[in-house]
Parts: sequence; structure tokens; C-alpha cells
Amino acid sequence: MAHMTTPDPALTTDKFGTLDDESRPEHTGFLAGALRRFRRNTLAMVGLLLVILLIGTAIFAPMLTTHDPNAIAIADRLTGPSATYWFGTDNLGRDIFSRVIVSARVTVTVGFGMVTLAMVVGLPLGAVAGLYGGSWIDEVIMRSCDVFIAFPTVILAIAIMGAVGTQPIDIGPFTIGNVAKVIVVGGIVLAPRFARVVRSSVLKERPMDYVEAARSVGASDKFVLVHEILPNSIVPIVIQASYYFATAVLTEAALSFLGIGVQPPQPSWGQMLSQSQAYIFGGDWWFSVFPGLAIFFAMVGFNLLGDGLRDALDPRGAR
Amino acid sequence: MQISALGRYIIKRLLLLIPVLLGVSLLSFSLIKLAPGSAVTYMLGDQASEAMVRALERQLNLDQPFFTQYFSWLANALQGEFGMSFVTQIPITELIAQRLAVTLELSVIAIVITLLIAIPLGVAAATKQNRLPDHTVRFIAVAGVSIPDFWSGIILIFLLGVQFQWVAPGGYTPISEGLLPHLRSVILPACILAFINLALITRMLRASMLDVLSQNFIQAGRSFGIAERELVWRDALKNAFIPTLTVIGLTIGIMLSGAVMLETVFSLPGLGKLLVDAVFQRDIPVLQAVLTLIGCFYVLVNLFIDVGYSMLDPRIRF
Repeated sequence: MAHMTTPDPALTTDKFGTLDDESRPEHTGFLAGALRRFRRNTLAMVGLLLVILLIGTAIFAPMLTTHDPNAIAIADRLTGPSATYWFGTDNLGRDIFSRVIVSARVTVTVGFGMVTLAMVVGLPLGAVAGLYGGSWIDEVIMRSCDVFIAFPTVILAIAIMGAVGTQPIDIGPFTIGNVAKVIVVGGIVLAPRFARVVRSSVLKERPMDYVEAARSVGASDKFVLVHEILPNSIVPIVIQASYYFATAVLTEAALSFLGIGVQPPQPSWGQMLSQSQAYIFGGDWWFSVFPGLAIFFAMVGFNLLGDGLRDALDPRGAR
Repeated sequence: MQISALGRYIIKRLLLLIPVLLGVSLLSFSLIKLAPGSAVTYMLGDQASEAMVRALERQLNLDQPFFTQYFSWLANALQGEFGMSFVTQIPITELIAQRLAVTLELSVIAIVITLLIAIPLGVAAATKQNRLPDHTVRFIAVAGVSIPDFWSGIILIFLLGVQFQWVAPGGYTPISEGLLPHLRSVILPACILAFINLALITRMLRASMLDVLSQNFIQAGRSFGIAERELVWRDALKNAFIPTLTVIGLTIGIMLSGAVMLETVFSLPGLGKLLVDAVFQRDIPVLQAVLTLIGCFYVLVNLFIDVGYSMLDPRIRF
């Protein structure tokens, strides 16, 4: 994508006048500079705020609810937003505000679980593939990843969840519950994508002088990878992790919307949306609006955070 | 020399395609192994009689070892034969053929709308930096990837379908019942798909327009006195479109996932709805077939894009 043009001073003199402080040599360290750039970026700060808000809501959910999220009050069913029911009530008279709040917890749990699992599986795979880039090990790992990447995330997750079913599975003494199942499926779907990012990041660092230096004093492959290459290739990995949080939130919401994700009695945003769908025709808009807004703000938060991290940590790559 | 290098690149990519396509089919096929307990009892439920279980097992070759099952399934699949839907007993190939048209139509309308808006918007954003078109592109870029399509679907059905009654509030009207009713049933989901695509394409187009506009040949054109409008719309746009091609692979992914969710929300009988219905009806043979097709299609599209890209821009080698 990068066009190899050598700037011709005669034609691009105006460029030298527009140097902003991003391109001036920095006297502070890399992290301090990145932090400064991040703090100055309003959208990035908005993203960070939304993410903190989401995680805070998840942690303190039981203290923030105004009603029992599962308490049924048929007499109050489908009432609009009011002083008692801030976001209105659903078809069973349950308080939508409390249900939205409680669902933040399952969203954060599933998102965190999916991204962690994707990292735990994807990082070593990608790192090894990158370290032995071009060899048969690389080919085997990356072609296997290609198979998973051949499907859009949501579609692969739907198909696997569809085949596995929503019933809890007993493996010996352990029961794999529904939420755990969604996490495992999402993690498996995301891991190969993560591996690809890690691999390309490692490949970029491998020919660097400092790696050569470590090798020349007899460092092992493992040492070079863990102590030299990975710390230096962490930036794209961190950026990608933020975007994958957004993907994880969307995947969970989509699965729950289709009824193959988080199961009742545990409420979730996607599940509430699917319950609300039939009531839109009667004009009960609040039932659909608020759970959807919650998904939207969570997604905006992680996407803006990702953009902000990219701009702050990788100023040359940002556009 | 150049041609042979390109030829070698294409051959290498085609050879590498074989293991990936095999993997895609193997992954799709193994869905049947993921079903808890036996796939047959999962599909039929607990009430099924012994005879029904045996019959379905025989139909699906489940009495054979796994790889025997896979290879006989693959051999049939290569001839376009995916077996019967276990629920409707209609050949799956026939089912897919019926459903494909709706998804294709949605995608084509969405792409047309996307391009009609993306090109002027992307160009305007690049030439009028930090003004309204530029801010619009930035807003769409975040909103497009953050608004879940199934949510905007429900809200827009409420606003445009129920309140204003401009479009159909879901449901599919075939074109044989009139063009206008037909369009009213598909235009809204197509617009939602287009909006998500816009997020990707305008951002990419803006970035590569900015890149091209700063290059020497544009500066040279300017100094020769070529009209700015001509430089932007003819010379720069042509060059800026090549990098934009690479995101088309992502666009296809969006179309497919969007089709699954939106066809469900709008009850349109497309390929995505077929997949979701198969999930609900535990129709694993249909699930396997649709997943295989989606995967193979996606892989092939990406191959075409990479090859096309390296043909258009000889500096690129992967």
C-alpha cells in the first residue's frame, strides 16, 4: 500500500513547513510520548471512559440495579420509561434498566474470556510461526489458521454453537455451562486471527540488528523470542486485542440474539433484543432501544480505544 | 521476466489454495462430530424410535469410520451433491439455489449504494480535510463498525416500517408481485449493509486519496496547469482505487455475516436465514453445506483480490 516515492524537494517544499510535533524527534521515552499523544486525543479518551464505565458497571452491577432483574410484575408489563422504571419494563414487567446493568457483567466476562483464550492459544502459535517464518512449521501453522480465517467470525461462531447446542456438557466431574461454551467457541474463532497478527509482528522484528546481536552471543531461539522479539512486537498485539474485545462483544450479542448464546435466566443484551423484536410492532420502542444502546456504547468504547492506542503507539502507521 | 514471476506467484497461490479448501471442508464436515452425544439423537431428539435412528445413521453414513464418512461426503460435494436436508428432505443443493438469489440481490443493491456514496464522500473528505465531509467519514467509520446490524434493523423497522410505513416491516415479497412491493421488502436491509460497508470503504478511499494527492505526478500535473477537478477525479481517483480493492475481501465478509443477522431480523429467505434455520432445526447436513460454501467463496474471493492487486500494482509481491 505504501507508495515508494522519494520526496522531491523542488516539488514538496511546503511539506517541510508543516512538520507537526509528531514528527519532531522526541526527547521523552516511547511510553511517555505515547501517553501524551493518547491524552491529547479526545476520541481516544472518550473510548477509554466508555470502557472504564462498562467494566465499572460490570463490577458494581448488584449495587447499581434498582429492581431485581428477574422479578416478574405482570401488572407493570410494557410500561415506558418512568421514575420507577428508568428504561421501562419488558413483556414480563421486568425492569429493563436493571437487566441492562446486570448484563454488563456477562458481556465483560465473555469478552475478557474470549480475548484471553484467543491470546493464550494465538500468541504462541503466531510467535513460533513468525520465528520459523518460511519453514514448514510456519506453513503448517498458518495454513491451519487460514482455514479458520476463511469464515467470518460471527458465522463460524454461529455454526459451531449450532452444532454443539446450548445444553451444558458434562466432562467427567466438570460441567461446561453455557457462558463457558460461548467463551470457548469465541476464543477458538478468534485465536487464528490473533496468531496471524502476532506472526506478522514477529516477522517484522526478526531481521533487526538487536535480534542478530542476541543470536551472535549464543542466545537460544526461545530466549530470543521471549526476551527480545515479543517485548518489541507487543504494540500491534495490544492494539489488536482492543479491537478483538469489540468483536467478542458483538459475537456474544449476535449469538444471544439468535438464542444460541447466553441462556435465561441470565439476561444479556442480545437476548433482550431478541425478546423485544416482536413488541416493536406495538410501538414499545424502549424495549429494543436500551439494550441496543448498551451494545453500541460498548462497541464504540473498544473501537475508539483501539483507534486511540494505534494512533498513540504507532504514530507512523496511523492515517 | 515480469510475466513469469507473476505466473509463478499465481501458481503458488493456487497450489496453497488446495490444503486450505480441504481444511475448510474438513472443518465444516466435523460439525457433525461436535454435536453432544450422537449427532442422530441430537437431531431427532430423545423421543426418536430405534428404527428412525438407524435409518438416519445409514443416510448420513454414520456407521462408517470418520474419515470414510468425510471422503464420501467430499466426493459428493465436489459434484455439487450435499445430500438431503434432514428436516425437509429436499436436496440441499436445491435449497441453496433457491436461497442464493435473495442474498445475492441484497449484496448487489448494497454494493451499488455503497459505491454511489463512498466515491464522492471519500474524494470530498480527502480534498476538504477537517471539514464536514471529512468529519462525516470519521463518524461513519466509527458508527458503521459499532452499531450492531441486528439492532439498527429492529429500530429502523420500527421507525420506517411501523411508524412511517415507507418500507415493509419485514417479510419478503417476490418480484413477481410487483417491483415496488419487492423493493420495499429488501431496500432497508440493503441500506444497513451499505452503511457498514461505507465505514470501511470511505476510510480506505480517503487515506489512499490523500496518499496519491501528495505524490509527484499530481504536483507535476498541477504545475502544468491541469484543472484540479480533472486531476482529482481522473488521475488521483484511478490510482487511489487500487489499495481500496484490498478491503473488498473484508466487505464480502461483512455482506455474509450481515446477511445472516439481517435476513433473520427481516425474515428474508436468503442463505443466511437458511444457516440460522438449520441451527434451530438442528439440520446438521445443511449447516455443513452452507458453511463449506461460505468458506470456499471467501477464500476464492481473497485469492482473486490478491492476484488482481499484484497484477494492477507490479510493486506488490506477497
